[in-house]
Amino acid sequence: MNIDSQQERVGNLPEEETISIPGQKSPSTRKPSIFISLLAGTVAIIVITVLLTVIADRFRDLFIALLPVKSAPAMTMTEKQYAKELQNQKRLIDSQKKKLKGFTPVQNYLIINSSENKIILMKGNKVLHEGLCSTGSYTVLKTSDGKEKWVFQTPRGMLRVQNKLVDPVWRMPDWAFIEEGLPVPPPFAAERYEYNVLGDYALDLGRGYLIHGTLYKRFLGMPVTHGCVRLGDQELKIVYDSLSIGSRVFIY
Amino acid sequence: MKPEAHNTGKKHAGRITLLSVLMVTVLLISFIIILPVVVYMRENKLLEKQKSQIDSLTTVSAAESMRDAAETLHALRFEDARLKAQIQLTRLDSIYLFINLVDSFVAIQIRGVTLRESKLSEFYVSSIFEHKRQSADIYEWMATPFVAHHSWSSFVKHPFKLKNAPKDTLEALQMKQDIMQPEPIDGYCRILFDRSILVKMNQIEKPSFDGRLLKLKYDFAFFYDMTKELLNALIHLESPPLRLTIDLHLPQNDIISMYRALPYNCSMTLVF
Repeated sequence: MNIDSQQERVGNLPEEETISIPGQKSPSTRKPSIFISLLAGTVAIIVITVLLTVIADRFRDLFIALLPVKSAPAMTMTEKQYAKELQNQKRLIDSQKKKLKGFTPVQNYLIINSSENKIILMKGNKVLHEGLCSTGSYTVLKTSDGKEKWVFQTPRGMLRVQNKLVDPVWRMPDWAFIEEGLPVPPPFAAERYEYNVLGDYALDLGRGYLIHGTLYKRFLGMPVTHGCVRLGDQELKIVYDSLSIGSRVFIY
Repeated sequence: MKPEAHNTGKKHAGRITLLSVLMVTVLLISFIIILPVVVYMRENKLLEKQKSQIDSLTTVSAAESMRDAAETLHALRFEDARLKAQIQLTRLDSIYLFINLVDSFVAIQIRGVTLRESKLSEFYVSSIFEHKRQSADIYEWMATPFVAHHSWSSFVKHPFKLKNAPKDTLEALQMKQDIMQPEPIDGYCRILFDRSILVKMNQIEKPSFDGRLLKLKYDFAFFYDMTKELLNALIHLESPPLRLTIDLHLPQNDIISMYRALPYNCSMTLVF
C-alpha cells in the first residue's frame, strides 16, 4: 500500500477515529475530564466550606472590627437628673454587693474537690486548713443478673452536717457484700456491723453520705470510695472540731 | 473534532469550574462571615441608626460633662444588671460559672461561695462584645444568667467505670488488686450558652501525644456540629448564628475540676 492510498483510507474514516494519533488523547477521555473538573470543583467547595467554618469566628471578628463602635445608649436627661440617677444607681449597687457578701457563711465551712481529692476548711474568705481526702470512685457496680446497680459517686453541691458521731460503727449495706462476692445477710444481721473501720469520728451529710476516717491511708488523694468522703486521722480531727451541726459542706 | 477544539473544550470546562468555585466561595464568605454579623447587628440594634440618635442627643446636650455622666451611668447600670444576674444565681442550688474578664479570672461558685478560682494567663473575646456593651438592651441582656445548652470536651465529664459483681471472694480479691491509677488527661473544653455565647477553655500546658489526638477528636466533634448547623441554616435559608466567643487560657487542673463540677445545663455570669 502506498502513502496516497493510506491517506485516502484515513480520509474515509469517521471523525472520531481520525484523532486517535499516538500521544494525543482520544475523544472518549473528554467526558472523564469534565467529570474530573466537576469533582475537583465539588471537592474544592467542600474544603472551602469546612475551612470557612473553622476560621469563621476569626474572619467575622475582622469584619466586626471594621465597624464603628457607638457610644453609651441614649438617655434624655438633664444634668440634675443625671446626678440624681447616678446617686441612686450607686446606692443600688452597694446594697446588691452587701447582699452578695451576705451569702458567704459566717460559720466554718468545708470545700471538697472531688476531682483532685482535696479539702479546704474555710472561715469567711480565710483558709484554715488544706489536706487530702478520698471521694467516690465513679464505679458502677452491677449484679450478675443486671437487676441491681449502684453508682459510687460523691454528690456535688451544697450539703449540711446533719449529725456528728464519735466512734462510728459501719452498718454494711448490700453492695458491700456483693462487691466482696459474699451472700447478702438479712437487714439487721450481726455480720452487717463493722467496728473501728470509719475512724474516730464521722460527720453525717445525709442520704447515707459521711465524712469519716479510713484504714486505707495510702489511697488518700485518690478516688476510691463508695461515695463517702474519707479523711486522714489529723484532717478528720480538725474537720470534726471545726464544723458543727448545720455547717455547710460544698462538694465540687 | 480536531485536537485543538478538544483542548479548547477542556480549557473552557476548567475555566467554568474555576469560576463556579470562586463564585461559590464568595457566596459562602457572604453567608458564613458577613451575613451573620449583619443580621446580629441589625437584630441587636447595633448599627449606625442608633449611633446617629446618640450623636444628635450629645449635640443637643452639648456639654462634655453630660457625655461623661451618660457613660458613668451606663457603666453603673451595666454593673447593676450583672449583680442582679449573680444574685439570681446565688439563690440556686447548683454550681455556676463566673467569668470576670476585668480582673481576668474565672471561678465556679455555689450560693455565692467561690469553690475554685483560676487566674487567666490570657484571654481573647470577640470584638462583637465591644458593640454589645453599648447596645440599648444590654441591661436586660446582662440581668439574666446565661444557661449552657451544649458542651464539648477533650476529656470525659464523668469518668464512670462499669464493674460486674464478682461471683466469689476469690474473684473479688483479684478485682481489688487492679485499682486504677488516675490517668493523666489534657484539658480543653467548649461550652455553648444561650444568647450565642461560646466559652472556650484551653490549657496553658503543652498537650501530651495522646492529648493531641484527643484534642483533634474534640475539635472535629465541635466543627462537625458547627458545619451541621451551618448546612441546616443554608437549607432553611436562615442566617447562621453569630457566636460571641470567649477564649480563656488557664491551667489544666483548673479546667478539668471546673468543667467536671459544672452541671450540663450550668449557668454563667459574666463581667466584661
